[in-house]
Amino acid sequence: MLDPSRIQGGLPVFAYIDPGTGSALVYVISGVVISLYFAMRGLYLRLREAVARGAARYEKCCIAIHGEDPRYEITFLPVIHCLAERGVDVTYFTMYERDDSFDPLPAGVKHRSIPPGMVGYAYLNHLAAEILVTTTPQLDVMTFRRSRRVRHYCHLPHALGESRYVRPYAYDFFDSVMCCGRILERNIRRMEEIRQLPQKRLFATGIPHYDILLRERPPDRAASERSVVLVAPSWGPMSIFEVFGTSLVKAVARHYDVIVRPHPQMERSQPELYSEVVQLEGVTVDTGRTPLSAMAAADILISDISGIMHEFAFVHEKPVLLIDHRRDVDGLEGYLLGGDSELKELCREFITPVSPSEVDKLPALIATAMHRHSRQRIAEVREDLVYNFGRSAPTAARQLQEILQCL
Amino acid sequence: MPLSLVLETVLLDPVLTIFRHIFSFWQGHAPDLGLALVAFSLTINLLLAPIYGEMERYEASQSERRTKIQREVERIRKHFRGRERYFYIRTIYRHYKYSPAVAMLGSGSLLLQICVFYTAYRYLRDQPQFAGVAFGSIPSLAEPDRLLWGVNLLPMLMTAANIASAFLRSNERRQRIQASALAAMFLVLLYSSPAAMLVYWTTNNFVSLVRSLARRTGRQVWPSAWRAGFARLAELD
Repeated sequence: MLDPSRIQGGLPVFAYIDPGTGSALVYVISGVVISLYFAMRGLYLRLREAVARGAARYEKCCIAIHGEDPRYEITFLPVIHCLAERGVDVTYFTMYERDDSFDPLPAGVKHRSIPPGMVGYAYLNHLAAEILVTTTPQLDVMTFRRSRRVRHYCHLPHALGESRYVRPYAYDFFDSVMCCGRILERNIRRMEEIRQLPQKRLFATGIPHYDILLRERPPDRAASERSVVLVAPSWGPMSIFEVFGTSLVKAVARHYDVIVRPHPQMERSQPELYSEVVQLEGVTVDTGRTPLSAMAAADILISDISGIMHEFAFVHEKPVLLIDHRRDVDGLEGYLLGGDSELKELCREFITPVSPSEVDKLPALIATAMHRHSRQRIAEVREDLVYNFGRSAPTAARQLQEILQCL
Repeated sequence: MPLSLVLETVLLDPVLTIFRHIFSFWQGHAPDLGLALVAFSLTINLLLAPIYGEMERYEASQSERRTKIQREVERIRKHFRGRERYFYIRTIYRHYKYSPAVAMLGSGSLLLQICVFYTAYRYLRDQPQFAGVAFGSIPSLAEPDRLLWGVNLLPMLMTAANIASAFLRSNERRQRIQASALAAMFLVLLYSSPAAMLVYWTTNNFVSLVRSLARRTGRQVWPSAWRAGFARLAELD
């Protein structure tokens, strides 16, 4: 029909077109080039995945639970126990070896260790199961793809949070999310509206590992004259130690007893700073596997990381000072949600934001926070923000059974 | 029978027949061959107005969608690199149900328009009667016009109309630059074409310019009598 090679005087027939058609032609040509690029890149990634998958064998599971890292054991184990009690068939896939140092799994629960990274995801991408439960976000976005033989994908968050600080498309392609609280639920619905996604099932679940933290919470220490401050920051370029050095801890230690709990990742990523922190004199350094005993021993927490702050406030019902670097959410889901953290605003009474310019006033701020502290108020806010506090693992197990019945 | 011949017979020949009738009509009614060409171009444009309109509507909707997609892609490009960036951009396309390949296939009116252009080109190319025929100051419609001290004027008029129309059609800098570059390329390619061909396409581009003007400014700056005419023209879209 159209033969561009038919020319007169060396002129392509396409040259005889008006601006609209010319623009559309450029669009068509760029479309072809972009399509080719995406097709080639997709083919390359599929080939890599096929090589990684190799000759893996797949067994059919009822509920498959995927743990990417040992730190999520505390999220899954209570749910696995409740499912086992209900007689549900569970297979626990971990991207690490579970040796004897891990808590044993209940009888009847199968465990499969799969390789970490791309090879492990290549395996999961072809799994056969009724439901796959994971804390890993971005299903069907990066290398963790939906398997055609998994009927339902369920996301179980591992901390109290909102979808503001997660990477793009974190929850978009899950069939359901077990929400920790109403803020996450509302954020997910908002993102569905913005992206015009079909509504996924959202369950009022809670945070399963709070059940364990609550059950294993050591009794608070007896009151003494000097209050104890726990300093447990994150790691990396924005962490308290990186920004203010160890002088901040030394200043606080002149007024209070201090327990310092450096982030485990700091030992690997910032070894020099880690070494300086663990050698601090006049403070107690806690490097235990869990922060439970340090949290029980402390009266107040200074941190810059959300997970431990909410545990300290909601499980131990004690105040927190948050060194508040305003996080740039431009590349995260918060950009589309707009505004500021709702969670931060609602917890402001007992998780008090401290701007970096105020850190030299920390001893006074600690005194103020402890003076106005109210356990009653924390319990009220917790009731509002956290679903099923202390009973979320059985709730999650029941909800998973509901999903099974609906499939 | 080769496929190209089948396609020509099925698609090209019926349109060529229509073109032949229209041009013959104007040859019989216009005072000279040059004006017949102008009238021929205007008639083809009038007949194609609904297709132009459809195409512009489609392009406008696609442009709006592409702008949204582009905005998101730019944000991702700013914050992410490598594999992560690739996967996020792919997800943006997925959210918008956008595929460059499908979008290309979806522009059927574009293919139709190219087909009509090609037919006009074929028809005019095969007309022997332009040799030695003058049109106004143009000595021969079968040769380049050489109206400006040996320099060809019609390709420049065509390019000016082309660029002006492109600027009226879009406020986006990127699209304007792209359209201007294309117009410049056409100027180079068409510069030595026979005047008959350029009379047809310059008329075509001026019609396009008037339509763009009507669309953009008709409601604000033109006299009321003209506005009514523009409204009728816009209705054809």
